[in-house]
Amino acid sequence: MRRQIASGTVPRVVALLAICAAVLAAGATPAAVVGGGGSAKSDCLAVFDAPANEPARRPRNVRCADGAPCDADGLVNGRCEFSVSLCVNGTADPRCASPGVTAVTVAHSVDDGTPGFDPEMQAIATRLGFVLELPETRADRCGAPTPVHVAIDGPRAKGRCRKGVKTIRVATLSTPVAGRARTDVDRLKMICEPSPAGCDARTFFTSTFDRVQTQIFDRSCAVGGCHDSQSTRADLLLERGAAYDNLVGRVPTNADAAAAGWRRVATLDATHGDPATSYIFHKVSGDLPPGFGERMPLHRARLDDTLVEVIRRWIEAGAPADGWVPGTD
Amino acid sequence: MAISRRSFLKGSGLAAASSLVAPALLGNPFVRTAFADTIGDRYFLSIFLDGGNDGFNTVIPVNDGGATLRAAYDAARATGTDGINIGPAALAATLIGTDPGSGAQLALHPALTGLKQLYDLGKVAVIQGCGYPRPNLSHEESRVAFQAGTPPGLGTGTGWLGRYLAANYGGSDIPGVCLRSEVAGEFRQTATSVLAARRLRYLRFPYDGDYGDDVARKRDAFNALYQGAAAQALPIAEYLGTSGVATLLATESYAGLHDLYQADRAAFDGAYDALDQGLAYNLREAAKVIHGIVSGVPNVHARLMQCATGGYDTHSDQGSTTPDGHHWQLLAEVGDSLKLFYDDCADMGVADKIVVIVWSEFGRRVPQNDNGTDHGTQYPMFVLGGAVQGGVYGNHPNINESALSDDGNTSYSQGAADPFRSTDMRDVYGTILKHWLGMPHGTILSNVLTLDGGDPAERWTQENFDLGFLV
Repeated sequence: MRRQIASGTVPRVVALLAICAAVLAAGATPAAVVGGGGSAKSDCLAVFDAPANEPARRPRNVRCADGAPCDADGLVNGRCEFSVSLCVNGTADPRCASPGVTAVTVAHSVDDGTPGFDPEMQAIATRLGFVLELPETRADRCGAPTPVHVAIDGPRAKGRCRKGVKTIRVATLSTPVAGRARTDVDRLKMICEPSPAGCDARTFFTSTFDRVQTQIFDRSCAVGGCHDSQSTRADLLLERGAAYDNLVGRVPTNADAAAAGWRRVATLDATHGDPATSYIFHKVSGDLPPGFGERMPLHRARLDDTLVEVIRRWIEAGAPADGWVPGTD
Repeated sequence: MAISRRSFLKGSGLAAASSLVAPALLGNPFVRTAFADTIGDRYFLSIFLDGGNDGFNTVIPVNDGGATLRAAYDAARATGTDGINIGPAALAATLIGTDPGSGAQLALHPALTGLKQLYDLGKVAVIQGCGYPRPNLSHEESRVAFQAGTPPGLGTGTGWLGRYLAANYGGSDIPGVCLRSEVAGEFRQTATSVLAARRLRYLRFPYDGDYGDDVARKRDAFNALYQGAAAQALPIAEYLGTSGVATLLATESYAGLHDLYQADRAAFDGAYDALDQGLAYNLREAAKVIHGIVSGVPNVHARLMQCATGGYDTHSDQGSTTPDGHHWQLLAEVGDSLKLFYDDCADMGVADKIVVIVWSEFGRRVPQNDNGTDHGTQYPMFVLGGAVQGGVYGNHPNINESALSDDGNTSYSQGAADPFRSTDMRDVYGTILKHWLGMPHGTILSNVLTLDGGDPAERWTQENFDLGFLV
C-alpha cells in the first residue's frame, strides 16, 4: 500500500510530452512528482505525486475535462477525479536535500467547524500521517493516494457549466539545521473543465433532489460551521442521507416561522407543495419577513437564480425524494 | 543565577538531563515515592481513536438473528466501487460472539485479525452500543463528554480518570502519563501531576545549558518554594513547588526509560519498528513506562496511561473493503498494535495486570454517503487485558431505517426491555473504576460519575457497575 517514489521512475518533462499521446490512448494518466512551489532548495520537504499536466513545460497543475482519460472515474458525471498523494523528503529533484521534517500541515484538513473543511484534504493529510514518525528523516515517505474530486460548477443559467477548481495547500517545516528550520509552502491546483459532450443535469444527477443535494446542499450548506454533522446549525443537518428527512414536513427552529405555521419544506400531498410557506425557499431566495432570520448561504453569495428555481419547482411538485420534476433538469 | 522566565524558556529542549536529582531532595517528605493506593500493581491504558470510528464497520452483523440487523446493514451500506459493505464471506475469519439483544452472529472487521487472536484467547470484551443521552455530533463536544464521563454541557472541566486520581493522589505524585503532547481530557484535574510526553526520549526539563549551575539552582528553587509555601500555608505556591519537583523528578527519570527499554527489550523494540504504525509507536512508549516500573526505576510510578491515534473521521473515501483502504488500514493498525503490545506485556509478566480501553468520540452514521460516513452516535468500545472476561457485552444498536433519527443515526436508549438498549459510557467507566481501580461503588457515584435526572428510558438514571467484563 505504500508507494515509494524512486528518483529513476520520475518522468522527465521531455519524456512526459513524448509519451503523452500514447498514454491518453491507453486511458491512463502518468503521475509526476510536483514540488509545489517555493525555493528549489527546500521544495522537496513535501511533494505531490499527482497527474500534473499543465503548463506543458513544467507541469504544476492538473487540468482535465470531465470524462476525459485524465479523469480517473472515466465518466461524464459533472466531476473529475484525480489521484493525489502527498510525500515528504522527496529525492526526485537533485537541487534539494531534505534534512527531515517535523511538521506537515494540509490546509482545510481539520474538521473544526470552519467552512473550508474538506474531507478529501483530511484524507490526504491522514494518509501521510499514517507513514510518518515525526521527526521523519526517511526519504520519499508517501501517503497512499487519495481520490480527489473536483466538481464542475453547473448547470447554471441557460444550461451553462463552468470549470471547477480545487487547490491543495501544504506547509512543511524541516528539522532544524544549525538551529534554523526551513519551510516549504506548496500548492497543487486541480481544474475540471466541462465535457465537450455537454452540461446536462440528467447526466450529472440522478433526480431533482439529487441535484438539490449535490449542487446546493453539499457545496453551500453541509459545510463546516454550518449544516454539517460537526456543527448542525439550527438543528438542521443537510448532509447526504440526512437532509431529506430533516426538511420535508419539519417545523423550522426559527420561532416566528414556526408560529406562522411554516415548514422547512411544506408539502400538501405527494405531488403538491407550497413554496410560500416553505422556510428553505425563503431562506435561499432572501425574501424573509423581519424576525425570520438571515438569507442563506450566510454571508456568502446568493444562490444562482437557476438553483433557487430548482428548489421552488421541487417543492411545488411535492418535494419528491426520487424522479425528475419538469423544469429542474 | 536566579530563574528568570526567559532562561526557563530558553533552556527548553536544549539541555540534556544527565543525572538524577540530589539524594537530599529524594529524602524530602513531600516527594511521596510510596504507592499506597488502590491501583496497586495494576496498570490502566486509555486509547483514543480520534475522529469518530465507524463502529458499524468495526463490529458487523453477519446475519439477522432474531431481528433484521444484517438486512438493515445491507440496506444502508452499498457494495461495489464506492461501497463500504463487508459481506459475510469476508467476515468468516473474524467471527466473535452473538449479539445479546438479537442473537445475530457478529464479526470483527476483517482487518482486526490481531484483535481476533486476543478475542479467541478470551482477553477482549467487545462492548456494543456505547454512548450517552442526547448525543452530540461535534468532535470537540462529544470527545469532551467521553473524557469527562459527563454528557455535554454538564461537565465541570475534569476528566473521569482525573476525578479518580484526585481522590487518590497528591501534588507530588505522578500517577499518570499521556503519551502525547498534552494532558488528555480523561486525566484533567488539579490535585496531582500528570506527565505529557509524546516520546519519552525527548522529555527534558527546561534547564539552561548556558549556565552550569542552572540545574542545582532550579532544584533548590522548587524545594525552597515548597518549603516556604508549606510553612506559611500558601496553597498556590505549594502547588507550584510540588508540581515543579514532580516534573523535575519525572524528566530525569522517565527520559532514561527509552534507553533502558532499547537495551533490555531489543526484540520487541524491533517488532514495533517493523509494524511502523503510529499507534504501535505510541504503545511502545507505554511499554517503556511499564518496563521502567517493572525494573524498579526510581520515581517512575505512572500506572495510568493514555495515548491517541487519528484518522477516523472518514467522511471521504472510507475504504473499508480492501486491504489498501483507509479504514481497513486504521483497523489493522489497531488490531496489530494491540496484539504486539499485549504480547510485550505478557513477556514482561504484566498481561494480567493491565486493562486497556479503546474508545472514540462517536461512531458514524448508519447510511453511507458517496464513499464514506458522517458523524454518528453509539459505537462499540473494546476493553482488553489478561484479567478481562472476554466476550460480547451490550446490544447492537437498532439500525433499521425506521428506527433511525432524522439524521440517519441510531438512538440512545436505556429502556429496560429494549433489545437494542444502549450501554451508557458511565457504566463502562464505573465497571472499570469498581472492578479494576478498586474504587468503592458509593465513592464512584459521589466522586466520579453522576446519575442523570429525567426519563429512565432515555437517561442514565440507574447505574450498573457490574457489566461483567471485569469481576
